[in-house]
Amino acid sequence: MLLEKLSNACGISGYEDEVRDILRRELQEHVDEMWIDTMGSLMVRKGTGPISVMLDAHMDEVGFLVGAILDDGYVKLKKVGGLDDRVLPGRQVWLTQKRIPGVIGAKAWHLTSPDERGKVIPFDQMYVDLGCKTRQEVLDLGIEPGEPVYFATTFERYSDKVVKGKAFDDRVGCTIVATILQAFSHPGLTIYGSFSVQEEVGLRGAKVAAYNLNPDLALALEGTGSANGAGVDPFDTITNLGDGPAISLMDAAGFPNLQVWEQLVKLAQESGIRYQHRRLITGGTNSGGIALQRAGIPACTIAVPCRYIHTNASLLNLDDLQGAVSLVDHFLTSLEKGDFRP
Amino acid sequence: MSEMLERLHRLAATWGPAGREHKMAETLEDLIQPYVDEIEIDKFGNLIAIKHGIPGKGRVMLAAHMDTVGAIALNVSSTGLIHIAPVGDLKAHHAIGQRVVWGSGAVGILQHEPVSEAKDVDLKKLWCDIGATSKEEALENVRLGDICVFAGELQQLGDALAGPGLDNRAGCAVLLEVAEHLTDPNVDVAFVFAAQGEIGPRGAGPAAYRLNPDLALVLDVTSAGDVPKGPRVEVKLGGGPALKLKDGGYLAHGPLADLVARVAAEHKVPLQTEIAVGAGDRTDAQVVSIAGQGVPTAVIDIPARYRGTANEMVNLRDLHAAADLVLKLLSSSLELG
Repeated sequence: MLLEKLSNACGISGYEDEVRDILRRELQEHVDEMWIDTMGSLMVRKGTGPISVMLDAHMDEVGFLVGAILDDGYVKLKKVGGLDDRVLPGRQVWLTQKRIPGVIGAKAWHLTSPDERGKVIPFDQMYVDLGCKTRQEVLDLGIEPGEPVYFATTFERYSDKVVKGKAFDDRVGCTIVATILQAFSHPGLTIYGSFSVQEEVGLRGAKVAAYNLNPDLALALEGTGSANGAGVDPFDTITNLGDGPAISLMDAAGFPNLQVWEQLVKLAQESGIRYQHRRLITGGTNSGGIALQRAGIPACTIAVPCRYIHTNASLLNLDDLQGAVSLVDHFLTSLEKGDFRP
Repeated sequence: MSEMLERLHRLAATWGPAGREHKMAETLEDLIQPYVDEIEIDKFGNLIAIKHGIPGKGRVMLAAHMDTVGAIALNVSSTGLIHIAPVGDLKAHHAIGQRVVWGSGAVGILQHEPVSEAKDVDLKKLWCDIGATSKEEALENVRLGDICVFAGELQQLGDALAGPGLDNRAGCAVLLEVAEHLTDPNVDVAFVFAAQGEIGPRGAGPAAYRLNPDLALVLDVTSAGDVPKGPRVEVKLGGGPALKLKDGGYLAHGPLADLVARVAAEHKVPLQTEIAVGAGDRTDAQVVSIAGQGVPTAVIDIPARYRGTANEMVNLRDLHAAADLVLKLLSSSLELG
């Protein structure tokens, strides 16, 4: 499964090579042109139709960089992207693209005061333990400051529908865009697949990609938070796993283009594609950055709910992924038939 | 009633939060149409109206954002209460008890969970009650993603005006006044009523990229410092428009700011200078000035008290002086040396 390969690939912001290589191999038979832009984003083109559509998904994931390597062989981390300190201690990690194993350690439980036990361990008190005793031992493993660090998580299937893995934000988006390019044909359109870099550090790759591609419109395919877990008031769940892809109402990076948004909702309703809206406006997505390029590009975000997003292990429902693929395909068809013009 | 005042009443009666500017654009199009040669709404929802000058003499962009703050419907309770998130800098303590109007036309009241202390007031505890008694009934009148704004008419208080949305209907009214009185300009004058100024700002950037003007003047409002514990700025209501030197996203273009100050002095237009102190103080100049290859940009602000509330206050003398200043600038040499 493509999602499995992409989830198991390691690529924090700025280190997207493994992901890019997988996508290149997967797509080369299915697209007319393929290139890597100045930022390192993978751009592909399929078709030469009169309407151009950018389908964006970011390749990067959240993780860490090696910070200071201490004299006693411990490694301090720097965050790349938004990470929740509550879920970090005890996690197994991989250091560098060679996946050298380590574990995020913190002060021993026995040494903590009752007061400390009730609190989140501050990030600056955490470190990675590789079993090394000296700084030199760490360096000898090939670990240097600035090398990437990943959650050591392998993709698993929990049930027919639910899968677990790291980096579903945004390998699920990459999977959707790649699937569209592989499985469907829309000769009336020019479809640009934009597998962008550095989303988690400021929507950087997609802004440059959109400026260069200058498409008629864009969709950003994303993973988004879902909190319909145990004990959460159904009112506060952001999105629900299994209730279909979320068509964004608004996020921290701005509004979706209203006409594109209306069309997506209409198509979902007409085609019986289960969908939902994201009931939270924090967190930015690439469509916000794309929308502002040049004279403005109509854009909207479609996102697959991911529980425990931005942690070591997210869950998603494959029906939601399939729903997103189907919605994008219907949207492209409506553009191609001229039912909708931006 | 003066033309300016009449237009302001009409703008105030038009619903137009950030991201949903289509009605506002219609009203503005109707008002500016007699005075311009070209008019269109761009892909971002900006209304762009152009009055032609002498070919080859260049182009000036005059920008005012046309949207207001509001709140977006994200969730509806089983009892029909609509839970909201802010669109722009809406503050919970300004919102409690206010009457709002939704894009659908539904009217509601913003209310808040009971709290024992004022500091416990929070947007997350705020909802809009449209009188519905079930989720279904509420959703028949307001769908998720709809946006509400403060309702209410403008009230004239001497030379001052109070009401919702004067940020930035005041700037829009100044541009309309300029359009009315602008005769035979040397340069092309592009009036941009920008979308999504309250979030970002966003719309004015793409408009500036496309128009590629030689220089831009941004008309917006700024917080006056002449109220207890107001921002520590020199700007006073009624003291004339304010030339902005710096804010959270902008530094004045030196030669252009000098030109604005010089023209104001020559023509005895009262002009205050302003350094906006809050990190959240931003205008369209933030995105206009860096659009494309860069645009020399000046900000001329209308002083306002009580920004973000349902009764923002501006002084008509400041609006007239701002329009006067812009007209004087447009009839001056715009060479920046």
